Amino acid sequence: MTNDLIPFGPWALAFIGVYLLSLLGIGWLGYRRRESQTMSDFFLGGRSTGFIVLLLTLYATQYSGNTLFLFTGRAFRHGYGWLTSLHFMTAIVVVYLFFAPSLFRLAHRHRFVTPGDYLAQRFGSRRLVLLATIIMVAAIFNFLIGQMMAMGRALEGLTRLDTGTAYICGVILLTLVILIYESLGGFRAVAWTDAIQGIMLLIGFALLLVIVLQRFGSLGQANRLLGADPTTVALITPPTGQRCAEWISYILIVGIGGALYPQAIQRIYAARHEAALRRGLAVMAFLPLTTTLVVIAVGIIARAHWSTIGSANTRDDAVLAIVCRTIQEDSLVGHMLVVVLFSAILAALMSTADSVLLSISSMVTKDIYGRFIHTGAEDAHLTRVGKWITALFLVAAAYLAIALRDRTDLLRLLDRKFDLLVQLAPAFFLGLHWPRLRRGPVFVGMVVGIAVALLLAYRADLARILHVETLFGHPVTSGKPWGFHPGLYGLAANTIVAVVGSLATPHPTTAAAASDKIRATSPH
Amino acid sequence: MTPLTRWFLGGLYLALFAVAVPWYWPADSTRQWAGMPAWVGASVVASIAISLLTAGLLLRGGADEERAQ
Repeated sequence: MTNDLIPFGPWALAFIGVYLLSLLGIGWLGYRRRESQTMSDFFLGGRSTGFIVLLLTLYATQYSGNTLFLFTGRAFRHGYGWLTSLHFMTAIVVVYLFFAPSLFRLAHRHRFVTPGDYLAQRFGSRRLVLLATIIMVAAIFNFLIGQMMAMGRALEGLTRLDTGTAYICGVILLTLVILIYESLGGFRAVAWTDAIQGIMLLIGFALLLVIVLQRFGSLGQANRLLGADPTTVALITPPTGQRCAEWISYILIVGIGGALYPQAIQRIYAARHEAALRRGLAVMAFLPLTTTLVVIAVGIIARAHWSTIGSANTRDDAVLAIVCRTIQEDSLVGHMLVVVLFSAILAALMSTADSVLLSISSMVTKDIYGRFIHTGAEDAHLTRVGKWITALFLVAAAYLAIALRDRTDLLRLLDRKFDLLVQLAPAFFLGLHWPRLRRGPVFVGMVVGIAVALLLAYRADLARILHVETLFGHPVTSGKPWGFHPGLYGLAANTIVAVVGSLATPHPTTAAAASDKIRATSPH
Repeated sequence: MTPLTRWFLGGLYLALFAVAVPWYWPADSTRQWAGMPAWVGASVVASIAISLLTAGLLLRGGADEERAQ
């Protein structure tokens, strides 16, 4: 994606080297600050994360390299039609408002480490924990590979090495850096490096806006240029019909699914106190305005001036790199700004990857190894196993990132993370607020939801395999039925099964116990 | 928070998101506000209102909890 950049000189590479070394230093500091050899200390930093670090780690985790590259490209391609990204990033915080404070109180009371701990405590069902853990790991492991591939691509254009070698060296180098600081300091190192990466990201977004406005002119001017050209006027006119349905679909699926990222749930657990969590989320509510809106503006401005800087048939994810190259060519200051911006991009990729990795290893260690393979294992043993699992998953992800370098189509085909994650919503949202929710219907609902989502998502492939061309008189096509993501149909079926099933099979003892449990943790 | 307040807030969020999604604008609208397409301005203003409401509720909920303790 960034092989359109002018290769960095020794000073620029040294700047990035210093940044990477500082991450290792933070890992070592995290190791020195460890308080005990426990899961809670390694995977949640001893639940002592204060307001500022919590805010920055949430920010750096939620806004990945995708936000910069893909969102700029989408705005470039769809114009203001991509303004929906502003709303779905805001919707994530709205969803947090609904469940994060209640979950935090339960987590501190019962010492939860993983999302599975909440499910085990609330529903007392091992199979539900196992299913939910598999869903979460499957959903975010793919995301981890995607981040590692983006890291490799990010380094492709920076050196004078051939792109293949640069990609492999990039993946291996950044994998090693993450492995060292994460193994040393666990969550503490991840959260502290996230804090640095979050600050760099904020600076990066501000810089991006300033240099793009300075180089290309105002957004108003870009709007006038786009409006004057009949081929681009659609980019500034409102979406209609199915496009509006897609807006609503994105707001629902990313709002719910993004809030249910396991790494985000664990940040809720890791807050020092509820006030820190609430303050952090309150600030997060405004960050889409300073982040998503900026990349939309950059995409729009780039599109308006594209005839002077780019060529037709540019890939969406290459737009930002081409804008950066134009700025690099302008002046030495422009070149230096791009170096800082590039470091911010690297920070965004690494902060998302390290958080996802730590979350995967905690879930596999505690909810699969600890519950099914070595039940009753001591905390210190689980923590040691967790470090090995971290290394194992990171090496596997790095290997796949290298092996799949030219198979992004395969990765995209398997990328159903939000369709899968939203299936956890009834267990978390209803489970926290509705005492009558029963474990059996929740489990069955989750299975039904996943089946519906995957069947709809892969219906065209399935029809091809089964040699079916039409269904109910309509040709079987891929894409979103009526503009809505397959996961939302699955979620509707899932919720109906969970609610109707729970109403149909009352269990007064369990319901009363759950009710007491929730009442005891509620402030109202 | 009373059930009535919860329903009111739920309705308020629905209304704000309904304003944020530009379904009610004519497809060929080229009206401008301060150099921006008017529908974009309305959508961004709705987003700011959602952020303000969410932040206010998060902070107010924290103050309520401190009082309860």
